[in-house]
Amino acid sequence: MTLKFQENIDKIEGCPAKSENGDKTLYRFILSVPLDSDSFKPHSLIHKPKFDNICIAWGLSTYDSLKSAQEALQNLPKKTREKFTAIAVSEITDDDGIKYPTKNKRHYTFFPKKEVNLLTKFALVNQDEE
Amino acid sequence: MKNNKKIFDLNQFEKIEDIIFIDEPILTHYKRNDKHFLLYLVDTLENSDNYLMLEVEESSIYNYLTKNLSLRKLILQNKNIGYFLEQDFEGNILNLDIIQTDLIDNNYLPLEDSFLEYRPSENSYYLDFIRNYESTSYLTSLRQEAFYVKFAPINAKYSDTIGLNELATDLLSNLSKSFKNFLKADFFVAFKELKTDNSKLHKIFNRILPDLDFRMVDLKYGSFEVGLAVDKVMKGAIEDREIKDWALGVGYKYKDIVLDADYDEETVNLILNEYDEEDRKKIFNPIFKITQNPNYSLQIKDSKKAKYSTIRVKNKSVIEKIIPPTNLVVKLEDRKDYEIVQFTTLVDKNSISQTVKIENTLFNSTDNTDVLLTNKEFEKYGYDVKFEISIPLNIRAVKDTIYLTAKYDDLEFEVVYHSDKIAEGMEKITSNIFEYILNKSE
Repeated sequence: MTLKFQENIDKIEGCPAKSENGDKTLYRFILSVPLDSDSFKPHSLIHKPKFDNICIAWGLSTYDSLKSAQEALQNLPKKTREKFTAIAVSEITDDDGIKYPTKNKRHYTFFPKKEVNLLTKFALVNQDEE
Repeated sequence: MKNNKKIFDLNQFEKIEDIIFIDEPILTHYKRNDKHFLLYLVDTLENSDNYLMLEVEESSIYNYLTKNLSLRKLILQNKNIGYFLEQDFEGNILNLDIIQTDLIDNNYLPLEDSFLEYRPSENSYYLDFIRNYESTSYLTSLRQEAFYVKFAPINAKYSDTIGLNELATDLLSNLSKSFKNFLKADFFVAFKELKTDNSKLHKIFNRILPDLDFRMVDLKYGSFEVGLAVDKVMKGAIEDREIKDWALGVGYKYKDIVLDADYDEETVNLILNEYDEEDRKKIFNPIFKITQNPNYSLQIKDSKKAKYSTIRVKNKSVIEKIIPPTNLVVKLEDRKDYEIVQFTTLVDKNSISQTVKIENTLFNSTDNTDVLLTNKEFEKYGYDVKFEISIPLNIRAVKDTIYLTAKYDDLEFEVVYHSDKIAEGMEKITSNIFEYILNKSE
């Protein structure tokens, strides 16, 4: 299985250490609407070499429920919070990549396979309807 | 302003865990010299990140991770000086300013409703942290509500120390016996009307009994001093709301009624109205054994900081009101001299029955008789025994006292009455045996 950013991931020993099996609905903050390729770039990585050696910084931060995603959003400082304009959701299967459970059971880092089209895989959540 | 000189080194801090991570660490817990710090990414500029660094209490982190404190309050209520760090994308600290947390720009703050449900996984630092903190805070909360009982010797022979046997037999066993009997009596007083199925009541009581016990939260030797608290947390498992409310209050009710410092008229009337003579004996006899013992004093106070009051029933008539002594009954009433009279019922073929008291014969009266307690008797009093049962019950009268004695499972059960209420006695002894059967089956 080749993951997006595989070259960078390979430089970190034991990264990612495990994957949770089975289908999982995961929610991700989005910077701009409509969804574009930037929505699924680990947005810290592009300019921040200080995180190069942090394994989960090469994946996509996601939450296991809309409620936990919204809670996390409320904990962000105003300036950061305002950068996120939407939340997207996807049913992630084992074929899509690695779902890495982090130390907070509510948070997963999703390492997508290189060939997965994330723009079609994720859909925006209408938070008013949820 | 870029400064090549190292002005602050985060590597000197031990990283505990990222609390919020959204593609990069947003809120991270650090530790240094047993002090706790939170590093909060508040802004990202073109070439640098701005962080707020706060020294926080460990309890604040616990409260935040368990949704008892919002991140906004954690920041604004923090009394320690904070630091504003500017770090470039390589990780170098460019600038450091000291800030007062209550003056932080709103742009750098989370929402009012910034509560977080952090569910630590097996490899999270916070799994044990929260568990340990909960057990400590459980004890702290119990201590805050505890009352204190002190058992002190009057005689100075052994200074103010208490002997182990004195402690065990004169204080602890009596206190525990009284409390246990109170729990049971009060439970049945409270729920006998609401839940008429006696066997169900027994089952419920036996199930919740361990959670009703006082928790011992403080101890001092010398004059033996113990802090006792009513546990509120564990009673969360009791589903029935009325029983739960009762369970939360019964420990304090015991303290107020039984460990009352002066036994005023109002308390005594409450005792007489709520509990029958048998229950009062079981509850108060053990306590009066302590308070009436000339070698010790039993003292009580409402909290650790309060002053002790001695539990002393000065007026003996109060004790006699609560537990009428046997000879008092004799004094107040005409002396009764019970005998057991046997009747013979004759039934003729036309089904007309006639009960005849056989007088002036060898069998006319006796001082004791034997009957059998069978499933029928148990059912009569609302106890459903699931197997066939037949227990010999001896009823004997000795002057003004009726003794009902049964032997079951090599154990002797006895109920004593100073009145002619044999039916009540039958019910009581049936109840005692049924309770034994229930306890044995659990």
